[in-house]
Amino acid sequence: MINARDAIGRPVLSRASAEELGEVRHFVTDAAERRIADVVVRNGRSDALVPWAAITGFGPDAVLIEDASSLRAPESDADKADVAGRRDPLGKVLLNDQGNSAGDVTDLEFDESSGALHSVRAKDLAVEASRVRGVGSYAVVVHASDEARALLG
Amino acid sequence: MTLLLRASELIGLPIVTVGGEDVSEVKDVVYGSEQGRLLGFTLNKRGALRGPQREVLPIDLVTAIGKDAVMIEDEGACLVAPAEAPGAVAAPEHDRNVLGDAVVTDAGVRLGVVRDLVLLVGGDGEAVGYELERDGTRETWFIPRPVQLAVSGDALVVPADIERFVRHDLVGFGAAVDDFRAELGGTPK
Repeated sequence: MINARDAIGRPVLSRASAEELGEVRHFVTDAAERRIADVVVRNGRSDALVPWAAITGFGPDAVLIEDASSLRAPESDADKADVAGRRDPLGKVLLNDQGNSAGDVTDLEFDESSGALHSVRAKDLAVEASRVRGVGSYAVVVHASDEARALLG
Repeated sequence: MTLLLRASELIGLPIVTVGGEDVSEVKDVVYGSEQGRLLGFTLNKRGALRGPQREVLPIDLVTAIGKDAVMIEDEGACLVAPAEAPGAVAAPEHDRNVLGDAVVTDAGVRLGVVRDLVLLVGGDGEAVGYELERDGTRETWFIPRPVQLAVSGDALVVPADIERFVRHDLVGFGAAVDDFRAELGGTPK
């Protein structure tokens, strides 16, 4: 399991050339599929997207991708928003669908081989990824737990 | 256990979609004193374009009112032009707003002036009580909202018995509301 927070800044290397292509800047999540869709790679002042499928190894010290052609420059407005972190859960407000917050997202865990999200963490709790409803520019919205619902009557 | 909040605490809260976007924020709450519930919200834009927003949010399109956000499904369907909103949301009748109204018991005793509405967290915008400022003091009283209530725009008439259910803070007021309804008020529709 990978902790996203620790992975920010990790070098991204080309498997084909062993060249360093940049470092991990953001994660782009697919909330419906509950997985990492892309990784945002920063090289100097420019950012590019790498689809999860082009990542050959997500390890503790480096992230290997096929080669430099796997990097996609952001063109659409959606890409530009993703590069700026719109669908990155880190630092967003963790909000349940009843409108109550548990603080900001401090970390998320995902499977290094499949990219499947495992959990989203805030200060003092971990929410299973199966409860995630949406990841947007403001908040990560999760289904309220049964306990939270019971509390609200 | 019941969690309560004041309607005034909703002002400034973000309007958030289940997709996690903060599409607007609460400018003001629109209350229907006859219905005993919020009718909706007027809105401010957020971010770089801050300022009053033309669209309004009718209460029926709200999926939850929480302590930290007002939740909706999506922006396009929920933030509606004033012309398409139920009339009272788009053009609130300020004389029907209970804030500032005097509260008088049916025995003819004046209790104070309405300062705020008390709502259930996670509820549908129903007001379960009123926060009063006692005449001539800085004291705060919370009283349950009677289901049957005469409201004139100047005053609210409440049962004299309501004094038994007064609380001075929101902690414990939820239980007082439940007791009041069990004894006097009946169950709201």
